[in-house]
Amino acid sequence: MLSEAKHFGSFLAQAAAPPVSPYGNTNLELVLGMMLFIAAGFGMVFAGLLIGKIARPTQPHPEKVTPYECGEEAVGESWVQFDLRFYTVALVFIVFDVEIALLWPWAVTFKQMGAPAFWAFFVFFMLIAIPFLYEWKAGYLNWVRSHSAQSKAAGEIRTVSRSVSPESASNRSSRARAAASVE
Amino acid sequence: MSWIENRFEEGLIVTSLDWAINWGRSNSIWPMTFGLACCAIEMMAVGASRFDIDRFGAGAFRATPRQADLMIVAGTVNYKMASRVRRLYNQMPEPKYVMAMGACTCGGGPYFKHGYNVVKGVDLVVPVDIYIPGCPPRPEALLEGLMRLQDKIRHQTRTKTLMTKAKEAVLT
Repeated sequence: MLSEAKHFGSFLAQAAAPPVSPYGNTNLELVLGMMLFIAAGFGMVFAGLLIGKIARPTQPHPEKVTPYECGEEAVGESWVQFDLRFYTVALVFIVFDVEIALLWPWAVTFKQMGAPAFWAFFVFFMLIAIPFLYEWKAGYLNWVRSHSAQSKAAGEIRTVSRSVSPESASNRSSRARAAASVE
Repeated sequence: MSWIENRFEEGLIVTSLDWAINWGRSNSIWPMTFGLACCAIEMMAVGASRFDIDRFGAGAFRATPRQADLMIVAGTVNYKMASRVRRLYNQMPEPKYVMAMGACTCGGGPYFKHGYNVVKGVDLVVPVDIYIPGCPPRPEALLEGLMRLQDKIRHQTRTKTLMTKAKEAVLT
């Protein structure tokens, strides 16, 4: 098979163009080999499926397709409402996860890297630490949220926005409402 | 029932296929992680290194009926559990085998007379292939039962059954 392919390749090479190499058109040979591989791969997959289809026992049963497999009848359904507070937990987890993943190699090579690496990571760390402190203060880390801490943090946002942009009263109140809804 | 089963007379191809399939099946019986009572302690001992059921290719205790071939009913089956046992058996894919381990599953055992809530033998719930007596059976007894099950699997065949042959003979 391979020798035939080689023959075919060299014949084509002589007919169409000067030979690329003394061994014939190697590109064509490569393509033929790859097609052989692909065909053999497909063949093996389908042969396996066919043999399985012929040899395996098939006795369908309604309980075989049930999702729960502990011997019990499933109770209720999985479409339950999920507490939105887990979203914050997931976000905080990702923050710390990424932080650890990036800080670890930096900490290992801390002595070799010197001052520039330290300052680079200082900035990076602050980018995470400041929001974290805000979160802490706003009470997002508490499972049962303290209303006073939240309203306090929201009030601070309001005062900040007020001091930054002295606008009309209606505008200001809408901004405060937006800040509160962000909470 | 597979396509090839009960279709051909005995011949080189079918018997060779029988041999290959039986060899594979008998040497890779995956039991289900399923202990009901004290017999399960002995079953755990069989899984551990001293008795080592893995020598027989049956050490992969699956935590789901979908991946298991063998259900070792290890312990007392009461009426409340019986429906669960049946459901788990139904969820197992073919080919599936059941071992009744211990006196309780063989026929009620010590609870035969006064066990108001005990099923008098798990063969009232699921079809049993191997009975292993004992209260509880020694781990060696469970291994013996596994070897007998292997024998049983090795004697399975996909050739045409006598009943089918007889039906064909009557019809033609």
